[in-house]
Amino acid sequence: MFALLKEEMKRRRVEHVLCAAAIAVITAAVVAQRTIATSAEEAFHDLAHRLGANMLVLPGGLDPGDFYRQRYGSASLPGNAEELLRASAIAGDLRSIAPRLFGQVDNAGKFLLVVGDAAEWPATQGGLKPAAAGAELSRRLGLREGSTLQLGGESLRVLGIAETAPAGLDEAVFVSLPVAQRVLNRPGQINALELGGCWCRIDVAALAKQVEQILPGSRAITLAGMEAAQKGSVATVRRSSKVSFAAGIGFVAVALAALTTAQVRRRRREIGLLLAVGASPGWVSSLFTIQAGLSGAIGAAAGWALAWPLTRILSRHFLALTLSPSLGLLVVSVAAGAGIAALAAQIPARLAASRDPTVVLHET
Amino acid sequence: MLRLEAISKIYHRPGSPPVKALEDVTLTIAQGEFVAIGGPSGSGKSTLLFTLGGLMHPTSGDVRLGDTLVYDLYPAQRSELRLKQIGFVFQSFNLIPYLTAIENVALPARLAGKRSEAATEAARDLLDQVGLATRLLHRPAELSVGERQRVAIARALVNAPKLLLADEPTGNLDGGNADEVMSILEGLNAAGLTVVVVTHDPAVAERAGRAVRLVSGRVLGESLRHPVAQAARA
Repeated sequence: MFALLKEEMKRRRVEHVLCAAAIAVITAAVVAQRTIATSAEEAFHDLAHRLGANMLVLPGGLDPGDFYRQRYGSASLPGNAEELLRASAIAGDLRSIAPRLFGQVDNAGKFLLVVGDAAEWPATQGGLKPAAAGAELSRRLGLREGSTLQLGGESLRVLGIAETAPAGLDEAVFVSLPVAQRVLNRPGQINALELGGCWCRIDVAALAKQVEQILPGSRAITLAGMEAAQKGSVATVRRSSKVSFAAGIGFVAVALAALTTAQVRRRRREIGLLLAVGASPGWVSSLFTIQAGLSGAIGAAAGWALAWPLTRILSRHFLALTLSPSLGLLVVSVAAGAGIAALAAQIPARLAASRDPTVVLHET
Repeated sequence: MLRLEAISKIYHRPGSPPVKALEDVTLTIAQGEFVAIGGPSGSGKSTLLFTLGGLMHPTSGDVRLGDTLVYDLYPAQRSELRLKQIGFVFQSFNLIPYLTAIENVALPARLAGKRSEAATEAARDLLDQVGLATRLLHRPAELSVGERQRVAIARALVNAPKLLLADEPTGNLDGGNADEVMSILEGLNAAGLTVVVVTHDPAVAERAGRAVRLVSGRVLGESLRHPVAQAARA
């Protein structure tokens, strides 16, 4: 059988090469799209994870818009908010709880933004309190690492310049929470909590509601809406990927069915002879099925190879990443190519096996 | 060895009246016989040969090869019967054009499950026997018509069949080549092989032990020339 397959494929190599090339182009497109879509899914998932993992809890009386415009007002959260959360049923879902106090303080006639953070700060010499300055603030006040700053009766030493402070906070001075409370004259108060955790598998909106119940008078702000939008994007990419995959399968099936049908027509005399000398119908059917399967497998393997440069170019263009199709996709492509081709060849192959040898052997 | 009992074959073609190709044909062929089936064109000779060889289901009647009712077998079993017990030779050779002479001859042996080396060895021996030892690697297009028919005979013999069926084996050959092919068939028959030849050529029919004449699908007469045939009839 393999001698017949080899000779036939050698003799009609242009036909087989063209068919394999068509399959290769389709496979390359599907593999490249699949690779990029999978990577995009992962990127979206990662982004959604990061976005969803940060929840901002503000006092109920503080409008989030005002908060982002740095109009903090006097509203505050319960001073023991962190303890309440750690003692609650949702403590297991909270990886980090960061109490903050944001406020403005008059500094030589100009308001200066102060951010108090409960993180541990390094010790400084001479009774000076450690601080960090936003990049814009440091330029405006001529602050450098080691500079000192008088603020609300507190003497601060600038330990570093926060070059990458979040937008809007590059004019802030960052200090420990107790220092901020003293500077802002709000002892024991906080007006923001940043919560973190791995919330991919839980309902973030429900978690926010639980936080608000545990901290009465608070407002928990999540990016769940954005996460939902990202998930929607992922779903769209998945759907389009499935559609193109189905279209690819359809094209490969039609191409192989057409090729096999043409071969069956052209080789009817040979088929008649094989049946006459004793080849079973099943053997004849297998001959065409295997041949189509081989074409499909070769085309799919070539398509995977072609997908390499294609994926790299497209991923650089669309994702600013350099992606390559995985070896797993090669196995899947070859198996799918061979399987689809073999299935597509079934009807013409069975047609071949059912030919009446006495008719074709009488043709001259 | 081979018995046809009341065989009839009617062709049904859409839009045309049914055609009776064979009508109540009963024929017994003994082992070792050389039978020529003759008759005018359209008399049913080839239909009879294909029916004998298990290739064409008769409309009615039975074909018995030894103890086996050929058309009671499943298609795959009938394929195996043809592969191992019956050899076919056709008027137009029907060699696979892209295989060499030795590959064409070895093909049925490979189909029968012989290993490649054994099949090639058997093919080489047979091609040697039909005088083509120097043409093993030639493709059909590189052979003369007489050589092609000898390759076809070698292919028919590669699985050591009990019965050789030849459909107008000399129909495409000139006098010299036809004589050579008939000599090969006579030699095979002399070695014990049962041979059935369909021919419209009286000179070919003359060389068979028994000639059966078909007209309009009916056996019109028989003539015996060979002791084996006479013994079988007796």
